[in-house]
Amino acid sequence: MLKIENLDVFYGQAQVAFKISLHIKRGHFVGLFGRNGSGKSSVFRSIMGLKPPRVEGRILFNDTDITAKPSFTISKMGIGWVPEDRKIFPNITIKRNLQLGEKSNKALKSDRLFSYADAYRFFPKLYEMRDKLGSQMSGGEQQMLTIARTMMGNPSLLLLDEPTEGLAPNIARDVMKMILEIRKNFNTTTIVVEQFSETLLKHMDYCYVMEMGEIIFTGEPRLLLDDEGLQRRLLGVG
Amino acid sequence: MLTLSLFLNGIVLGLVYAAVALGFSLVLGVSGVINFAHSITFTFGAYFFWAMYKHVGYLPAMLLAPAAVAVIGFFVERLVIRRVYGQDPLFGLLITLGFAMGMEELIRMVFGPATHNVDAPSFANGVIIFGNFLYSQYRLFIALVAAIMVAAVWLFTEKSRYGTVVKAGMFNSEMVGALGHDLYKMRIWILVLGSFIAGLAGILAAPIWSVKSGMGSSILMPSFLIVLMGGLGSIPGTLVAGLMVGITLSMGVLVAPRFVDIMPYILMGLIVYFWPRGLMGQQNIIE
Repeated sequence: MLKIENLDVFYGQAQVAFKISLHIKRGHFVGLFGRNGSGKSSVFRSIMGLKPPRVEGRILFNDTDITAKPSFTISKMGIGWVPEDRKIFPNITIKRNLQLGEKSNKALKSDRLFSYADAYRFFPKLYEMRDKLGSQMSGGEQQMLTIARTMMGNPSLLLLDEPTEGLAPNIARDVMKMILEIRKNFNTTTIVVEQFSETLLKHMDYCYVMEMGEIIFTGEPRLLLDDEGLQRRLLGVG
Repeated sequence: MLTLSLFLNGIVLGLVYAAVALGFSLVLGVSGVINFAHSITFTFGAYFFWAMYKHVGYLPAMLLAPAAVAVIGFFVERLVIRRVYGQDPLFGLLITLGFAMGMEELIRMVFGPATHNVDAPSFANGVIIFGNFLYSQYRLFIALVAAIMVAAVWLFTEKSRYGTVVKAGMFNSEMVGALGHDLYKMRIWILVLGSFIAGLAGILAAPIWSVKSGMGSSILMPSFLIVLMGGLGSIPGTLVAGLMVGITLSMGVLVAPRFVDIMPYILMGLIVYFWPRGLMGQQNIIE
């Protein structure tokens, strides 16, 4: 579904990612782990066609070259992005925030599409607050809104950039639970960027680890899960 | 009676300022460009109207002239403003100011340096009498049309789907694009809408201010002040600030006639001191 070939990523003259190659299969749940500043989010920004950065290499989505296409085109092709700092719109209501994400994805074969009812079922708080402004939400509620808003576009590929960053542990647990629930219901191909998440890793099909802009590990999640030494060496955890 | 008359004049002036400032504010909000060429659309509106109203009639000219200005707005976006998207707002300010000055000279060359008079329409020519108070029917007509324009823009941004995209775009244009909305198209349409409104405001002002090449320059700074005072992209804020500036300029002559021109700047300084984002402004894309 998504193939990244020899991707170099630059901010001005500074190169932040080197010869990144990823291959994501349809329906898979994939992790892209790494410490802060390892270049994970830059890879997501490159996939979404956001500027900066500037990219060299190729990004293929369903065999179409989407390298450096405008972000609205990429979104319309079926890639949904949940950014790390949430980027909700505080000046409009929660219902309208959801409305902004709403679009039909003709490329999606599934007859099961994500609707307002799903948004409110997975995240009941959004229903209670639907007429309130985005600025009135807590961090956890904002994260739920961001995920629901992106799902309203019925993406074929979902990019989740540090979805639990800055959340209290119990809220982070809830958010992860919802991500897994949504995946179970919609089978959306998903890539999650995190520093590390054992909970999510247990459900993943594949994972990558980045360090200093390079992929330093590629493999089955259990290789990471079962080897605390490897976790410590690659990610500084365990 | 003089006080009441000046107060009403201030409201009328404020509504015209607010209508012009709205376009300014929307363009700045969605594209991050300080579009000083907005002033020239006000002038073009008045000139086009003056050139056609005797031939096609008052009301048809009131629609055709702003439509022609909107077309100019479209080309201004394609040829000038598009080049400065994503760059330092200062570039936008300089390039659009230069463009506006060039266009002002062009108008002077084509239509001549003389001032042209435009008659008020027959249906609003005369005065309304309340007891022993007389007030110009045409000024009430201006107030009505300007208020309708402001209300229409408010309805568009608050109640329509596309308006939601515009409001969101003022806060974070990158995210709006990543949700699948075409920012370039949105920026064009907002500039076209802003030009139409400014052109219509120019028409409304023509019978009172007369048609002259520098009329856009005289509305540019009040509009800019109103955007700063009201808060970027806030329609209620723009309306309140427009009325404040209009009433201050109109009634200021009763208090200190020599200092009237500086009063809006003092007002702006005070407001921005206490509310740096303006009266009803929120975080926006140029921060």
